[in-house]
Amino acid sequence: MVRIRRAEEHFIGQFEGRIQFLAIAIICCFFFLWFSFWKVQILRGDWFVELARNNRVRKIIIPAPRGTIYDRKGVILADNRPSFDVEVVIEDIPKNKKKDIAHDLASILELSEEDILKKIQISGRVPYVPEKIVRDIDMNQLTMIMERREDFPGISIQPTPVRDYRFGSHASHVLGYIGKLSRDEYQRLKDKDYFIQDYIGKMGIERETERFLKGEHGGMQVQVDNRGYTDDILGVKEPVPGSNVYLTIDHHLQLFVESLMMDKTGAVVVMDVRNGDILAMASFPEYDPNVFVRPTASRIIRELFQSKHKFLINKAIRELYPAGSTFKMLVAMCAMESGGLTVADKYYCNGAFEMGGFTWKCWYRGGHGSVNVIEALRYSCNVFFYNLAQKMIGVHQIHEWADKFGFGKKTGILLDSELAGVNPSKKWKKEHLNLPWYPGDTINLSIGQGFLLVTPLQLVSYIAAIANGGELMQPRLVDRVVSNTGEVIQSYPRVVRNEITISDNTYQVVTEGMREVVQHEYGTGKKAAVEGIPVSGKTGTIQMGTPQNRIHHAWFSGFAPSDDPEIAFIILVEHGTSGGTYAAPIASKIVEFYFKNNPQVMSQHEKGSE
Amino acid sequence: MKKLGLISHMNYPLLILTSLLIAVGVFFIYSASYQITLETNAQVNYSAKQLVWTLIGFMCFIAIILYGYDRIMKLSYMLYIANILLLLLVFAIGSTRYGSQRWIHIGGLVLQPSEFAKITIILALARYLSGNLQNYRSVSFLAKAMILTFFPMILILRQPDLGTSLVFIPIFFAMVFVAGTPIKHLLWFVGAGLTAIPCFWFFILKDYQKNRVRVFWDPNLDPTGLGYQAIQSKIAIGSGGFWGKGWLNGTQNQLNFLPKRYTDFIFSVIGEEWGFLGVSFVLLLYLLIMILAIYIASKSKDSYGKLVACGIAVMILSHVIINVGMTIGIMPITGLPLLFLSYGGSSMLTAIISIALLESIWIKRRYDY
Repeated sequence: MVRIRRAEEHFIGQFEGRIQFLAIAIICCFFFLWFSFWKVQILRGDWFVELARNNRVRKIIIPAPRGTIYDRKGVILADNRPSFDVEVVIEDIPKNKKKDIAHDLASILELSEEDILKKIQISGRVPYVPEKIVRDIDMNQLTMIMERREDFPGISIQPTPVRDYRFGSHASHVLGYIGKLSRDEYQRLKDKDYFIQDYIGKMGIERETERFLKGEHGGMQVQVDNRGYTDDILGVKEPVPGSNVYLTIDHHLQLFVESLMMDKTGAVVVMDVRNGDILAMASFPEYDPNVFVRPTASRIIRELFQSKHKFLINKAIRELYPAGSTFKMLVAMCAMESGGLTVADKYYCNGAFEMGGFTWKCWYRGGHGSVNVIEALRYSCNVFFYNLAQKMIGVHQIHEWADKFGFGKKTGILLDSELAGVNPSKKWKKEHLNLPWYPGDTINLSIGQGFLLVTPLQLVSYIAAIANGGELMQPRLVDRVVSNTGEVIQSYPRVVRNEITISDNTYQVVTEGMREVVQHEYGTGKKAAVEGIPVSGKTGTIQMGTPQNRIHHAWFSGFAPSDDPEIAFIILVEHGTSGGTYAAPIASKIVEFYFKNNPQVMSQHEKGSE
Repeated sequence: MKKLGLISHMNYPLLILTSLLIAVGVFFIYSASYQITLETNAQVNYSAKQLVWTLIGFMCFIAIILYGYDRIMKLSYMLYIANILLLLLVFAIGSTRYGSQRWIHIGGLVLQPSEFAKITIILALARYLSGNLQNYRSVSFLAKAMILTFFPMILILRQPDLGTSLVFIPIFFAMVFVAGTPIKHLLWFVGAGLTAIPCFWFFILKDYQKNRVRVFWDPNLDPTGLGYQAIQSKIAIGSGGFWGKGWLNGTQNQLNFLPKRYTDFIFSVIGEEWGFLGVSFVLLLYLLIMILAIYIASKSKDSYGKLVACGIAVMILSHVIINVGMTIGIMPITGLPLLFLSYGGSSMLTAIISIALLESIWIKRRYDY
C-alpha cells in the first residue's frame, strides 16, 4: 500500500510538469498549422485565386479502345473507327458570344440555331467537363470548324473511338450491341473504371465478354487555354486497349446463311458435332447494331425495342417452340432402350389413332400402312409414335431421355438470357398447371407437341449428340480471348455436358431412319439432299397458337456427312407450313456451301471413307 | 436535487466550444453537399443526417454523464475487448468502400468500429497505466502498454486504414509520457520505432498506401488520382484568401472540384468559403477545447481521469494535424475524418463521447453522484 501511495505521489509530482509540456506542444502545433494556412491563404493567396478562377487543370479520360471481335478465321466482325465529335466546355464560352457561336455552328452543322443554343446554355451539370454537342461529323464539317477555331472559344473537336460493326446486321444476335451506361449501371460501376458517358456491352458477346473487351481507361491532366484547347499536358496515364475475342463463328458460312434467310423469319444454327463449335447462328429478322453507337434518331431505336417483330430477340436461344417431329428420334431411342422396341415391331397406320374416345390424326390422311421404326422416321408417321406412347413407354421415360439430351436445361452457351425451355413430366404439370398428367398428354409428347418447348440451340445440340454417338456438347461460341500483346488470356475448352449411352443397334436404327428421311425416294426431307454428300435429317412441322388462329412453323434438323458426321444444323422457318418444303432446301444449300468451302476437310473425309 | 447539482457543475465553456464546432460542421456539410442535395431534390441531405447523429450523440452524452467516468473505468478492459471483437467482425462481414473494409451494417445503421477504437484504447491504456503506477520505472510497464495499443492498431492497419491507425501512436506516447515513464525509456522506444519504419514500409503497408506517401512527396506522380485531390484542395484553401468567398460560394466546392468534400476534405471547404479568418476561428476552437482538456486533466481527482483527459486531448490534436495538414499538403492523404466537422455517424459519436468523458471527469472532481 505504501508503495502504491508513493507511486501515486510520484505520478502527481511529475504530472503537472509533463502536461504543461503537452500543452505547450499542442500550442506549438496550432501555431504551425496557423502559419501554414497564413502562408497558403495570405502570402500565396493571389496565385491560388488565379488557379481557381480559371481552373485550367482538367482531367480528361482517354477511353480505352474496345477489343476487336474476330470470326474463327480472323475476319474482323466488330472493331473501332474514329468518330469526330463536337464538344463544348460551357464555362469557356464568353456569355456575350453564345448567340454568334450558335449561329455559326448551326450553319456549318446544318442544325437549328435554337438546338445548339440550348446545348451550350444548360447549367447544373458537372462544370468544366466537355459536353458533346454533335457526334460523328463528316470531314467537310470538321475542316470548316478547324479553320475557324478562333471564332469558337470553348468548342473543340474530339476524335473518339466508336464501335464499328463492319458487316452491319451480320451476326447481330451473336455479337449483340453496346450502349451508354444506364443510370443504374453507372451507380453500380463508377468505381470499376467506368465513366458517365461510357459504353457497355448490353447484349450478346459484347455483354458476355465485356470484362475482356473493355480494357482500362487512361487519363490525362491537362492545362488548357482560354478557348478550351489543350495548352500543356501535366500527366498522362495511357489506356490499356481491350482484349480481342475470337469466335467459333465462320464468317462466310454465316453470311451465306443470312443470304438464304433474308426474306424469312426464324433461326438457323450450324454446329460442329465433334467439339460443339457454333459455326453459324442467326436469328431473323436481324438488326443493325451500329444504330446504337451512331447518332441515331431515338425513334429507330424505340422501334427496334417495341416492334412486334422482336428484332433484338435471338430466336436461337430466347424463343421457345415445340420440337415437333424432330423429337421422334428421341422417342424412338427411348422406346428401344427403355421399352424393348425392335426393328421387327410394326404398327399399322390408317391415318388416325384412337384412345379413350379421342382421335389423333397422322399428318398423312391416307395412312402409312404397317410401318417399323425406320419407316416411321422416314415417313414421319405419327401413329407409330402414338402407339409407342400408349403401349411401350410412359412420360417418365420420355422425360428422362429428354433430360439426357439437355431439354429443359440451358445449354450453357456464352450468351445472355438463354431460355431453358420445358421438358414436361407429371411433377412439372402438377407444379405449373396444378393438373394431373393425362394419357393424352403422353400421346402429344410422343410427336414433340403438347407441353414440350425447346430452343433451336437445344435441338441442334441434341441432333449433334445423335450424330457423334451420344456426346452432348456444350455449344462453344468463343474460342479464345487474346490480349493486345498476343497472349491467350482465356481459352474455352471443349466441354461434354453428358455422355449418353446408346446401344449400337439403336444408334444404327435411328441414324438409318434419319438417312432415309433425306436419301429414300419417299423420305419427307428429300429436298435436303446434296449431290456427293450424304445428308441425314428430320423434318418437323409444328403448330402453335389457338385452334382459331393456328400458326405453323417449319423445322429441318440434321447432320452431314451421314457416315462420318462433321456438322449438325437446325433450320427454323417461321410460318412455313411444311418442314420438308420450306426448311429442307435451305439445309441442302448450307451443307453444300460448307463442304465446298472446307475442301481439305472434305478430302480427308473422302480418304477416310475409301 | 441530484440533477441540478450535475447541471451546475458542468464545464460550460467546453460545452459551448463543442456546440460551436459542431454547428460550423453542420453548416459546411450543408454547403459541401449543396449540389448533391439540389441534384437529388433534397432526397439526400447530409447536413440533416449529421444533425440526427448529433442528437444521438447528445443522448450518449447524457448517458455517460449520468453513469460517470469512474464506473466506466471498471468496464475499460471489457469495452476494449468488445471493440477488438468488433474489429475482427469487420474482417468477416464488413463492407468495402474505396478499397478498404471498415464498415459493419447493422439494420439500417453503418458502424465504423475503428472510430470507437480510439476511445476504447484511451480507456484501456488509462486503466492499465493508473493501476500499475508503482511500476513506472520498469520497461515492462511501457512494453505492456504498447502491446495493448498494438492489437487494435494492427487490426485497423490491415483493413486498411492508415489514417486511423496513425492516431494511435501519439495517443500511446502522450499517455505513457504523462504517466511518468522515464524519458530515457521513451527515447529508446522512439529509436526502436524509427528503425522499424523500413519494416513497416516493406511488410505492412499496402501498395496503395505507399503510393499515397509517394504522391505526398510528388503530387505529379498521380495527376488524375490522389495528386488531383491534393492539388484541388490546396487551390480551394489558397483561393479563399483572407475573407473567403462566402458560404455556398466556393467555386472549388460548388463546382465539384473538391473530392470527398463533406467528409475528409470538409476543412478545405471552410478554408475556401470562410478564408483565413474562418480557418483561424475553427483552429482556435480546437485549440481551446484541447487546452480545456489538459486543464481538466490537471484538475481531475484521480490518475485514471487525468490519463483519459490527456489521451482525449492528444486524440483531437492528432486528428486536427493529420486531417487539416492533409488539406494543405503538409501531410499525406490518408482518409481520416476530422472530428466534430466531418460528416459521419461513428466519427461524430466518438467526438461527443470524448467530450462527455471530459465533462464527467470535470464534474466528479468536486461533485460525486
